[in-house]
Amino acid sequence: MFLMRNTIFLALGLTTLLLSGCTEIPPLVTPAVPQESCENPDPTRVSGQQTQVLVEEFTGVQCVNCPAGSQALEELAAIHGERLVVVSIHSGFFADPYPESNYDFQTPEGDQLASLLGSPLGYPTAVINRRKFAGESRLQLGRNKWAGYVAEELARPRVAALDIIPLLDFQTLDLEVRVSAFFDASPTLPLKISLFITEDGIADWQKTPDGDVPDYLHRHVFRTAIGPYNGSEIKSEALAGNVYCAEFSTKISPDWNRDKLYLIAILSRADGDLEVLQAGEQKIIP
Amino acid sequence: MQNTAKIAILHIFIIFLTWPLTAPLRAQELPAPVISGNLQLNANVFIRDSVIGAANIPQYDRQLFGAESWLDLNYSHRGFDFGLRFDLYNNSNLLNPNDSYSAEGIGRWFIQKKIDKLGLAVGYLYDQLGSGIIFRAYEERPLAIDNALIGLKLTYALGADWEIKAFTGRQKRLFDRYAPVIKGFGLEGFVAGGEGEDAWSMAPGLGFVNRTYDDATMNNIVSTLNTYTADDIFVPKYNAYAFTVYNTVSSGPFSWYLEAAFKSRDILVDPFGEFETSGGAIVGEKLIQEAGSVLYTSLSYAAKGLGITLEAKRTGYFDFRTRPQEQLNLGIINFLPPLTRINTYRLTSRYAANTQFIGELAFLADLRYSLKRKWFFALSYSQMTDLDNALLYREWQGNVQYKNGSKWSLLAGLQTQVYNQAVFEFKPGVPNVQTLIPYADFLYRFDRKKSIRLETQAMLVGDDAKAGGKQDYGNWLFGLAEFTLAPHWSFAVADMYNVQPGVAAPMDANGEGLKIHYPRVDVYYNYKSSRLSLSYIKQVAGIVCAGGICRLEPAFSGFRFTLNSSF
Repeated sequence: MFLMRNTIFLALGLTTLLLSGCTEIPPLVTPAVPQESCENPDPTRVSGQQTQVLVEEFTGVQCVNCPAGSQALEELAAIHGERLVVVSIHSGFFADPYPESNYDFQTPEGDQLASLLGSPLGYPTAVINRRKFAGESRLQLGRNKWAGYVAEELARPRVAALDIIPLLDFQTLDLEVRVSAFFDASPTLPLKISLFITEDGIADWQKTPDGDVPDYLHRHVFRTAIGPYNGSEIKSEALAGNVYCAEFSTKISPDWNRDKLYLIAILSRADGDLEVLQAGEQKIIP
Repeated sequence: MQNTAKIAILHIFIIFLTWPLTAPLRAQELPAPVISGNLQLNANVFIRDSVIGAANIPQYDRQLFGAESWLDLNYSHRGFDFGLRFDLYNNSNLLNPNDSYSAEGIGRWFIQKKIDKLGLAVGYLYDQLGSGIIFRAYEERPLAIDNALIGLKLTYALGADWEIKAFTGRQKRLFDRYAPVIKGFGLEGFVAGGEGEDAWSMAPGLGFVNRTYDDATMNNIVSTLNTYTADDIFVPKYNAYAFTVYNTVSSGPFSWYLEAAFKSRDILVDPFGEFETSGGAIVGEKLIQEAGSVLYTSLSYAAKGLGITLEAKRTGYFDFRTRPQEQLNLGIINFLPPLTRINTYRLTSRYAANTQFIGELAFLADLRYSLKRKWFFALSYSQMTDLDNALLYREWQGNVQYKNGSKWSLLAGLQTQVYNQAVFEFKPGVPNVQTLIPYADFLYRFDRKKSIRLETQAMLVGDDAKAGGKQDYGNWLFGLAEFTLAPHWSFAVADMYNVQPGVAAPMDANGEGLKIHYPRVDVYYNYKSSRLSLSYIKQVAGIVCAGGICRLEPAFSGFRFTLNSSF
């Protein structure tokens, strides 16, 4: 009776609801980059490499608490050294640049990574090895949880050693990257390899508790991904025994300071879980 | 919850649901079983509007629809009370306004039984000690707070007016639970004396709560402390103990509540902590370990035509969480009563003061007077400072209402506020927002069924000299017209207009503030114990509070459908 008497109201309401929200922002579709298999990778270059942990920090120039978060990562880096691989992704509502900013650190790939890893409840925030830790409801973790989970991840046995060899043509800015993964045991596919370019030490505006700072040094700024932001799948044909080797190519932007560019390689699961197994970092111009 | 446990609970519930059907077979004279319940549904259609900031979250960008729903079922029979709640979140932004959450399952169950003087309850329990200062397990759906204690509670009646209770469990976290264990007990009573005008009563009580960290939580804390310098480091404690004593004294028109609570040294986060690092001194979230206290009192006087309420609260280091790494409104064990006036008009409630856990000194005075049931006067003052006497919030509000029988009424009021936006919204350097808000509310009844209500408000804010413009979003105008067709229908049209945009308002490409309209249209339908609403909403970003707990909500643009039905 109730429904019959109010059919018009319900029908109009539901139709309006269904028809009103019909535009959507499409996903970022990135064509695969040339990925040539390579020969004679040298395991001795990384034979001493230990388990390394990826920290994807989500930040923004309008985020007043983020400098404290970035500093906390520097403290962790001081403790763990090169075993900590940090990427600072500017994304979300705090990442819009100032009118006076020299750069807009936001990138479509960074926004897609935020989408992939889930938006944070608050800033500063970071995802550690893309792992959802026991007792946590999301990948994004507040600052006071980082140290503990980084230590937990560092204690895991190494799965593979990653070797990154960049070759930059200074004239054309063409960048070739050879990535090798030397697995400690026969790898279980599917796996993915992701390659990021970060730029360190960029002076630009940042909101801080002391006010707006025009020359704040932004560390580990995510610039782009080589290939898909969520990684390229490791094909079985690129594996020779326990060794994976592939070459990627791209072109770097002339706006970036090539002397402060780094390559980040991420070996991760691709079976629906995003967990990172090993991460590596290499300066493009040593 | 483990699957086997879920299945067992469902079996028990099904047996008791079908119990009435087998009644003829049992042929026993038993009280009739009672089944009751409630369904709440919120559904949102998100329409992207990047100008007002309703963008860049999954719902606006691609998911377009989101919903939350809760179905409560309660069953009482043979002295048992059973409850089961199904929770559903589909692309919901309720838990995190900037993200999407999808999950569904049993959000709550409980079994209660009274055996003579002994009461027992197991499952997902809501309860509190005193006013909740040391312990409150509760649900606040608008802010996605569900701090149920998953555990056991025992009560025992010590005579007619005294009861002791004890509980233990772990706090709920969505469809899981936190690892640290919480336990406590409380004693409450009632004493009365005197006769006639000399009659008085007292309702004293005391409570104790202990929270114990699990090893994983402590290991995580230690790892963070290991990054601190010697000046900031401390030896963390696994256990925190909180104790409260409270009493309500009532006599004639007076009622006086007093509660004093203390907490042993406990780890908490100072959001504005200063600490030394290798890169110099910085301000940010810092773990500290401090003992805490809260003193809260409320005195009220209610006589014919006159009501006075005076409240005061002092809070020092009383953030009590299941683990200190939890942020915002997650993992909170207790509840600190807010001491600012709860405002309901759109503009008077735009700047709401959030309860401060680390340090707060707050006062509230509220005076109400009615004259011959035609004139109604109200005046209130509230103030909140930190423990260094820095002003956090101040509000004056007064209004007068004239009621011409049941035909029409007119209310006019004025509110002034000083709001420390730098502290409440973590925006260092911004000045305190100063507002002046005149408002009026007119109600006219055409007949017993039809009535119209008109609201108008204006918000005038101060200048931000440093940024060169009006403070925050600037000046606003608000108007609302609501037509009610009793008993079923109600229609409302409202608009909030940013008449003079401030320094934080959306701007065009030339840096000029945009004068944006934020309209809203609502249709409500009531039928027996059900209420439906369909709304078109364009809403500016702002602070949303419920019971003293607030959070920053981003702008909203779209349609909202709600259904609330009890049975």
